[in-house]
Amino acid sequence: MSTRATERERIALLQGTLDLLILRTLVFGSEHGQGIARAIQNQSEDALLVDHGSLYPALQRLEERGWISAEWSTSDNNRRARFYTLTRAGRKRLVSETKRWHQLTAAIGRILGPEEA
Amino acid sequence: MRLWRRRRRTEDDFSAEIRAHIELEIDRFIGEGMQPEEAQMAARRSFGNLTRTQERFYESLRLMWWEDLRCDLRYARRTLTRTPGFSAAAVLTLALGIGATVAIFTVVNAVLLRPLPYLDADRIVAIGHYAPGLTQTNLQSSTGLIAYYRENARTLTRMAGFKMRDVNITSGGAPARVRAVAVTRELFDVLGMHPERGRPFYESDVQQGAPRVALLTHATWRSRFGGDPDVVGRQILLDGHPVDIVGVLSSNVVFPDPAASITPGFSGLREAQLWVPLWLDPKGIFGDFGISTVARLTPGITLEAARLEMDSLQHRIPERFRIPPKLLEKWGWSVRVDRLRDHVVGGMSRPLWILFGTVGFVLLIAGANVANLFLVRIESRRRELTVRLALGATRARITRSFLAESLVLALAGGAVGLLIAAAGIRLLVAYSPARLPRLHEVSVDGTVVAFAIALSLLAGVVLGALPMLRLPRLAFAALPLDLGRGGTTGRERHRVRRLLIVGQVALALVLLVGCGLMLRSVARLYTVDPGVRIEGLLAVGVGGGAQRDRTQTVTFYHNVLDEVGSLPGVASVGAANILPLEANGMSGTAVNPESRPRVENEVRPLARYKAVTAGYFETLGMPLLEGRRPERADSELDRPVVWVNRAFVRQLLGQRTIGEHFGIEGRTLEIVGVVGDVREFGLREDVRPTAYLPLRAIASVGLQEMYVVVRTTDAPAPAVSALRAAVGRVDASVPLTTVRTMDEIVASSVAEMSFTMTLLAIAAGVALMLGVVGLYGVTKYIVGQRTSEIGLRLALGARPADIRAMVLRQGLGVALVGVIVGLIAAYALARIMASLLFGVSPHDPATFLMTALVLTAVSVVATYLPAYRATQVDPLVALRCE
Repeated sequence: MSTRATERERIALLQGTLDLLILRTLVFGSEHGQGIARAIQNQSEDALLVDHGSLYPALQRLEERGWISAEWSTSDNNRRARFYTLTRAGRKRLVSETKRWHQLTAAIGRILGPEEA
Repeated sequence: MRLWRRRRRTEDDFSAEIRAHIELEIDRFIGEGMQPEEAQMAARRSFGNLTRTQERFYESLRLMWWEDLRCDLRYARRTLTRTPGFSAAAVLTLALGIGATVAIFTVVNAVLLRPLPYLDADRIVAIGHYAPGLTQTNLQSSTGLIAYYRENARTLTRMAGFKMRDVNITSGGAPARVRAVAVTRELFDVLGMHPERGRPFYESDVQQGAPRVALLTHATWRSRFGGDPDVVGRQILLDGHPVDIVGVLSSNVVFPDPAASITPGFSGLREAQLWVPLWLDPKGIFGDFGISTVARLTPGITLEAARLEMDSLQHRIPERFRIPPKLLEKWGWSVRVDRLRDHVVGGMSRPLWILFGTVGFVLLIAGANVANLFLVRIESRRRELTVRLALGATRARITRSFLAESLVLALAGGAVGLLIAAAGIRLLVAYSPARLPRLHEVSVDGTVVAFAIALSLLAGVVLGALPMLRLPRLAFAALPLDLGRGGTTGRERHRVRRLLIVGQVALALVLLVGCGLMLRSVARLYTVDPGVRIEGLLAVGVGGGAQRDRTQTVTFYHNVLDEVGSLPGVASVGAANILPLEANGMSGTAVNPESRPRVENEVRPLARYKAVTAGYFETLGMPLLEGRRPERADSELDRPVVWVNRAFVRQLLGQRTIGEHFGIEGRTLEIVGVVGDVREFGLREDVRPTAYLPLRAIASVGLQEMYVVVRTTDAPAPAVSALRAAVGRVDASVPLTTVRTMDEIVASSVAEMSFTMTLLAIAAGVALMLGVVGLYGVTKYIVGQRTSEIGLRLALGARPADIRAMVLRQGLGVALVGVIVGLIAAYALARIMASLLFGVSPHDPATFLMTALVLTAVSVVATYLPAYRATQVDPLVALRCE
């Protein structure tokens, strides 16, 4: 949880979507945990909240499943950090999960109807 | 399980990553213009709960599993000590099952599984020749065959021969007749061993005029020579000849195993105490059978290859030894090459596996009882479990805590079981028949302990898994509403319990049937008429002494008979070189009576023969059917006379009996009497044609010792010391080997069978007891659960008899299903036992019926008690029993 003030405005991530977003973020190259969190927040224009307490276990889980791999390396500003890279299996997973996500949102969208102003 | 698959990432590595994250955040905030302290705080704040993140990583490592288990074990110990009754019952029941199983496994391990204590023991083979047309038993090998194989067999590298012989030893203590084994020097190579002290035998030891030498077994060195470190080089007297001791064997060498079928034809199971060298004529002759043979497989050669080659070598025997090929065919000639271990274990492997299966059944029954206890316990802990589930405990977590409890119980049971096993093994070894091979090797070793631990763990895991069957139901059924006591209990809640009872009853029935069949076999065996009067009969083994020739031997034994016969309490005496029931070593010969010449291609049974003195038939109570009895003059005057039994008359003679002639030991003998049939070869064996020769006729050939049989009067039988003194008056240097009653001889003849029977009876008894306790316990529990229902029924006017009938009907129903399942299983399994039985079919209807009746009757008792108690409740109390 980040600051209390922003909590209400931001949307907590749905179960399972964090994995998808991590995989998506890594498409552009390897990145460390903090970078991933920032990328998600920035790209969602601060609409999404990344709970760091979930981020690292999620990274751990993805690594175990072989979708990402990790390596210690040095960041742009000379900090040692653990960099994550998408694996071939991870890339496949990303494609299939993205497709599922679109199907899901489309289906839910059809049920909920057009967004009200 | 994941723990093992994954390359483990350390906690430190994870912490470092989190630190890096925070530092990166600080950098970012500073970049956005914050002060360092402010940035640090902001970074920490934005990360959130650091500890929780660390914890989640920690849990993901599954290290938690171990941590939890340790915690669970501690908790389990506390819970279990709080219910000592349950814990003790469970531990003891498991200990009984595990102990029995481990005890039998120890024997199975030592006798059947462990390799013989020789180098590469699995590459040692025993070779035997069989000619059913000539004789029933293994002919072993001959000097000619050994020479032939040594020249031609490529698949066998080393071949050694050995022969048992008995010798009188007259140094290092009292004179005694001891067993010796004469071995060729190759035996040391075949077994891959060297004496512990001194040297093996050399080629020079068997050369003409070489000094006589001997090796001591470890046991003899210890007992007779007090472990004298300077024993090598000492001289001893064997059969009156000076012999040099050249070495001592190591303690693990007991060769050949006294119970092994490798040395058939030698009655009286005694360990060899001495090794002497054996010389085999390198030219060899075909017919001097009786040399046991072992060999080592050539490196890289399989047993099958050796068998093939040996089979093919048999085809050239006629050519090599100038024997008509048709004759070999008529004899049914064949060669057998077996692993030495299989040869040693021989016929004991089946009874042992059966016993092992039996105790396995006992373990299953014990396990079922404990499982029932566990189920009851889970029921009684519903409330606790419901609360735990409500508080967020996962099912896995609860299962784990049950697993911890069952593991603690099972391991405790295993530990106690191991103690029971250790005690049981001692009893087993003490009371097992001498025929059990490798008996001296039976001991608890690493394999046995590992087996016990594995068994306990298995029991623990299976029992611990039981709640998992229950939990799904608990999770839904035991919602907070159920926090009170459940009013009525569903019928299907008892289904598992009933299934366990069915299993227990069925297993117990199978064991009882097995036990019953053995019991009937032993009973049948005892009703077999041995052909002699057993009561009041003593058999005294008397060694050969230093008699030089036949006349001296005859005079010696006649004098012994006179001395023993004059003792008070002795009605009559006689002697023979082989006792009834123990005639495995009796010589056999083909017989061609004058009036019944051999027809072409006719295969006749061999006639066995033994030497007897005057008084032998009368003393044993063998009826004289025709002719006259033996007299001392027959031996003294060397008359060519012989007595035969009825089987001999029936199977080998034509019209004429008295006055018929046939040849034995190179002499033509005349039949002067016919006696009744005696089970010379044991109660299980058929009567075979047997000839009885005067002592003199056999005195020079292989007369090792004579057995003086003594018919005692009503007065107390003469003491061993009196018998020893009587023999001593004739020749003080002659040892008494054994003094036994005929009862003991009969008992040892059935020892193997009654041993198996006793163990089966114990197993079946334990099984029955556990089964009954289980049935009683479950019925009682179910009745207890239904107390309020029964009270209601009583209050509404049900008669106590109706209630009793209802409980009985339900309990018995379960037991009867068990009986039926058990009968089917027993019917299917009994065939395995067929070879152990005597005179009774493995599907003997009487045994099956009796067993089923007994078990049903016992079940009635076990269910009646709770049923009776159920009707004793006061309806008012019962109704309030919410």
